[in-house]
Amino acid sequence: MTLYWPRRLLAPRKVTAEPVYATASGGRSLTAVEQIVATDAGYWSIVLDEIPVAGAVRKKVWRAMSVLLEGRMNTCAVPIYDYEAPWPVGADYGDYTGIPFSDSALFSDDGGFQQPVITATIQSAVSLGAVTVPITVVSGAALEVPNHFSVANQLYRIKSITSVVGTLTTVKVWPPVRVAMTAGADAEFDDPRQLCRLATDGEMMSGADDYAGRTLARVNFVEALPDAPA
Amino acid sequence: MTAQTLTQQVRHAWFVEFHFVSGTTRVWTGFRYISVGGFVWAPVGPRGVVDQIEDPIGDQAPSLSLRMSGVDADTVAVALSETNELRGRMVFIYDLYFDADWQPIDALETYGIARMDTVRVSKSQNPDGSYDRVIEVPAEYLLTTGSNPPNGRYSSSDQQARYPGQTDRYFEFMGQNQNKRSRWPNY
Repeated sequence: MTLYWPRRLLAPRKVTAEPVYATASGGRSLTAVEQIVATDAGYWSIVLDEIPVAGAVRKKVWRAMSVLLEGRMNTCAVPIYDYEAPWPVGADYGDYTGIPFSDSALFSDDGGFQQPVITATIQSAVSLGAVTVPITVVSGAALEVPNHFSVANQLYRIKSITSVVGTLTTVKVWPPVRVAMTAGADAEFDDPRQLCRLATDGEMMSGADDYAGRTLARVNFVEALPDAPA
Repeated sequence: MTAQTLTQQVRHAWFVEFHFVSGTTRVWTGFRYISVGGFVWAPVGPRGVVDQIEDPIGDQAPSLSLRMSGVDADTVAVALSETNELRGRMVFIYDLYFDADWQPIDALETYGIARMDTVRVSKSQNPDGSYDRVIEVPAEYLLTTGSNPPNGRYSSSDQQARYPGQTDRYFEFMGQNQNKRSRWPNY
């Protein structure tokens, strides 16, 4: 079962989701030539910063997350709070209205069903390690660099647009595809997430002692690998 | 491949195929699972290091070592308990270059073939009290044991290879019996 970061209760004021690259070099030679060597494209690092943890509910949720994550042991799908997603005209971040049942009734807490504002699907299967992804945008603005989306809780950033034919946009993404995508899979643009684990065992300590109610917590996550493909 | 090594931006990774007794394990020095050569390779990241491999000259059999740093105590324990899994088994080391989109260029190129020896573990303590653990698998050149006749040693494993299930334990004690004095008859 995938654990999700409580995106509203523990919402950060600052979010950084950036790739971590790993390159090596032997140094600059006498002829000013420097050879940079990389073994792979890199991985995601996500920092959720300035998270208000004051209040009984937030404290409870924070402490619950702390034990559920068990340091670096367990993984969690971390949202990147992407305000720059390709929202359709007239829509915006968090623009979700409760959709009632067919007889106009809502749930007992006056909440309705929700559906994504941006609807996009993977047009045809994409194999493990590929970088070219065909996306059909059913509802949303034109895709552009560097929009984010996730498929199966694996986050991708659009690196370049290869072609646009009607609603089908073919893009190149970073990082190379972590989990093979099937045709018709949902591309999550509203709330892109990445499966992560805490960067260190002590990450949740930053909000653990907030008795004064003023602490702003900070959590560092690093990308966790999905299960080995069969 | 030569053209790749002459550029200023080199995208290169090692792929290592361990032929353990219980099966074959394939790893590479990237951060993700990758499908290359019809197999899925597991990532170990840049923590995995392959030593420089020398060309064998004359009758020399140069050795190389495969190292993995930043491993936890559990992995060390598993590695030490699995020594029998790898002694004398083959390890294949491959090269692979990638293009700007991290797609493989050509196929895997064989960089070295070696015979694994044993597992070495080292542990050093950092100033903050944490430990750095390194697992090392020394391996020797493919033909290291080429001059030995197959199963030509007076060892228990050779005996078992020739006569599986043999209950005679004489060859288990060859090392101890060397230069041993036995008094006979012993009244």
